[in-house]
Amino acid sequence: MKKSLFILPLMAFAITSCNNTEDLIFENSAAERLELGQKEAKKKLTADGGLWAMEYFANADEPGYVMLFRFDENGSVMISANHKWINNEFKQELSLWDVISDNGTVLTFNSYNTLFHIFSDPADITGPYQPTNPDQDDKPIDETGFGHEGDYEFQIMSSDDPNVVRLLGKKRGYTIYLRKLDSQTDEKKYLEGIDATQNVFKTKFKKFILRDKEGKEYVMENFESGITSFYPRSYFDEVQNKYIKADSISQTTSANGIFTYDGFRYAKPFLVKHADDSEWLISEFHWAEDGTLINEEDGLKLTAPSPAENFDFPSYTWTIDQTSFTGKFAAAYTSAYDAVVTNLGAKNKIGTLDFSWASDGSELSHLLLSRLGTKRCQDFFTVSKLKGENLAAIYSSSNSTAERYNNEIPELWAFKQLFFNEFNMKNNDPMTPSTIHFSLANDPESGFDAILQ
Amino acid sequence: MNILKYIKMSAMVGVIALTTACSNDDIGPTIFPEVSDEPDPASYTYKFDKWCNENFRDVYNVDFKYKMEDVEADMNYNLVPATYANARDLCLLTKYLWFDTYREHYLDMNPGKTVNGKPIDGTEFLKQYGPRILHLVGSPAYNPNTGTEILGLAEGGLKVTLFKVNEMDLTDINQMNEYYFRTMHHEFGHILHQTKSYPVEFNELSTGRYDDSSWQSKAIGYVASLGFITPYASSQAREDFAETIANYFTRSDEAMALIKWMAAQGWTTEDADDPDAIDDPSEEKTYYARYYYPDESNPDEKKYFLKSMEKDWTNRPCIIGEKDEKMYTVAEVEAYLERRAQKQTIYEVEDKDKCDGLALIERKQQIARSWFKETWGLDFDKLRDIVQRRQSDFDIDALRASVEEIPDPIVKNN
Repeated sequence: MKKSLFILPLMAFAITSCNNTEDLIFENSAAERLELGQKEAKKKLTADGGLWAMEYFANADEPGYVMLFRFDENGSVMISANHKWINNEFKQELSLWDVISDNGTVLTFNSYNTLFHIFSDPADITGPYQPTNPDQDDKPIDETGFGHEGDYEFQIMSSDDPNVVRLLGKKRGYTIYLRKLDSQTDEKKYLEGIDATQNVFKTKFKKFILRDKEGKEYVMENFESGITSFYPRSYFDEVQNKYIKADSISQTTSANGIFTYDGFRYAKPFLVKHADDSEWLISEFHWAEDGTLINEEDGLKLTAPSPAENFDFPSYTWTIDQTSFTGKFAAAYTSAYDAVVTNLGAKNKIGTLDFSWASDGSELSHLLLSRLGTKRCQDFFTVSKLKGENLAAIYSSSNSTAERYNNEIPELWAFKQLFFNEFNMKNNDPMTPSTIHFSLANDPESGFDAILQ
Repeated sequence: MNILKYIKMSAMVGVIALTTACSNDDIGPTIFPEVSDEPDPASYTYKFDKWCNENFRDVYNVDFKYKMEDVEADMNYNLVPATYANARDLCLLTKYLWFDTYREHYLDMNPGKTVNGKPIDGTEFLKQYGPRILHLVGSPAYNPNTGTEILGLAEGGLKVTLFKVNEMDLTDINQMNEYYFRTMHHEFGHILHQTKSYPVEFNELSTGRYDDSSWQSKAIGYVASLGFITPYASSQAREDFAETIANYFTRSDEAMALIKWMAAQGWTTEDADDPDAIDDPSEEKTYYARYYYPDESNPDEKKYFLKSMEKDWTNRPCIIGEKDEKMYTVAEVEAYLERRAQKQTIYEVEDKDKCDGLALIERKQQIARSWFKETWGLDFDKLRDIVQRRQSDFDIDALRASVEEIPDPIVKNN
């Protein structure tokens, strides 16, 4: 029995060992394929002038940075950058690159470049952006031995698109894209263009509204930092016929992304919470023609809050542009202005007019703040119909200074009363509206602009 | 079934396999692509690569990896490549200060002598015992747990890694010495003793005094008085041996004399007089070599002063006076103490460690000297003389010129 067990496999071996018709999975050996992969990757990276935009992520705690790489066939690469770790100054520096075989086909930047390897350098992070520990009185964190912990060697992942190379950080595993640029692209202007898109968000507007394809809304914060936070808004679910209440604390999720030339991309798709605690993925936005950011595939649109929301935000003061009055406002303003000068002298002419906030008794209230010389007149009002682009302002009271001059100068009071009215409001920009245009609901030709301070 | 049967069965399978192999199977030349050893003439680094081949690979069989490959380093550390310019300069200096030192010594020992028509210039020695790979890394290898950084590594007698290349400052000889030159000789010391052991006596000289876990918190004066040339030497015997060699070769006469002066002192912490003081070995302490009584009538109150430092911002060992005066030579220390003595009575800290640190350091150097002579046929002191001279006279522009003098490549047109 034992003997026959030995003989059987030997026979099978003898029979099968001479099959010349086996299919070849690969035409070349593994080593030859690796070498071919290297050659093809080098050819792709250096083709047509070799200029690429890298969307680089070092870690999960900071935003991504766009740097430009001009690959030369001679093994050198000119890197251009203007990120904050080099004081936002545009700089270029030459160093070396190669494509090697190591855990697949690997793109390596194997000589130090101060613009790029700063993200891999284990030295302590110092300077104005030094990380601090909020739990220890913002004491600087010693990052010696760690630094940003970014990769400088990347596995080249297969891609059929000649204009895109997908890289995988060899040590940290971040997906990083190289996107091909026209070799005539001016590196400095290109990076400045990205800055300009990011700077759009460096305004006083800290909140943006994301609407999904079902019309549900989310508040997005900290966009300008590149590390955005989302939380859902409460809504009425008509199917379930009930109000779904959201929690801006427990349902907040956040992730890092990168401002690119055509929009904003997250380091990796991340989960946003619905008000009902279910989750969905978000990956990137692109600029739309109307100036909003959209994701067509997922039916997402990111915009500024409505004029009503902006107007109702206590942190904002809106200064009325006195050169923008039209219709009834223009006539009443001229009349009031002249009457004030006549009654109080040129030194006490009508000064700045603001929509602001102050305490009226025990509650914070809207007010129209007007200045007559050094005199501060406060006329408080409440709001109704404050939604979307509609506002109804209803006068409630005045401080003693306002009351005195409202009585003494009827033209002034008549002018002010125009503001306690029903309005239609329009943002001047769909993303970061610095101005709201107000027009009377019953007389659209009469209106004015209010500018965010 | 016994082992013999297994062998027989294996043999049988082999026979059948041989007899059934297809006669028309073509094994082919090699499965690996043929890679040229010559630098690419179109490469940005062609001249330097050619220089490396001609001066390291072809002569000593050394692969000089100045373009960092992270697989060559410990992946647990966060490291970055060296800048091309610094890597090139350090490569040139490695040859000049390390390989050429031994070459010069061999030529001095064997003037005019040849073997097979070739001068006896140490090529065979370096080819046989030198590292196979020299790897440069731009950053130090930090250990955040201990607050230390690795400046060099020798692995298995085959590879030497030099770190911190991006901080190289050619205008600061002390920095160059501290970070690179000493490291080269330290790591070569490891390679040599990994190949041929040093005498066991060396290990026994400081038995019980090595401290692998908290050496970094100890002052140079204190460890010198225990017989160690540096705090790192006090970590373990093999590091002690490599440090003995490297410091002997690279330290200036003044620096070496100052360390030996430290070795002859008694050192104490302020806590030493406090019987309740808790002795925590992990805590960094300050050691002093002198004291005085602020109030001579009160013998219970001593004021300690005179500290030691392995390196200050000038990268030299120094003694620090009571008002942070820095002294780099024995003469400066003695003059300082003399000035102090004119104002008040100062006392030497009693040397209670029952250890003649100076004698130990000198004994260790003597063991290394004999080991070099008897094991390698090399003169420890003459090697030091050559290193000392070369450290002070290297001309980086001339060394760089040796790269630039490489003829431009002839690029073939297809």
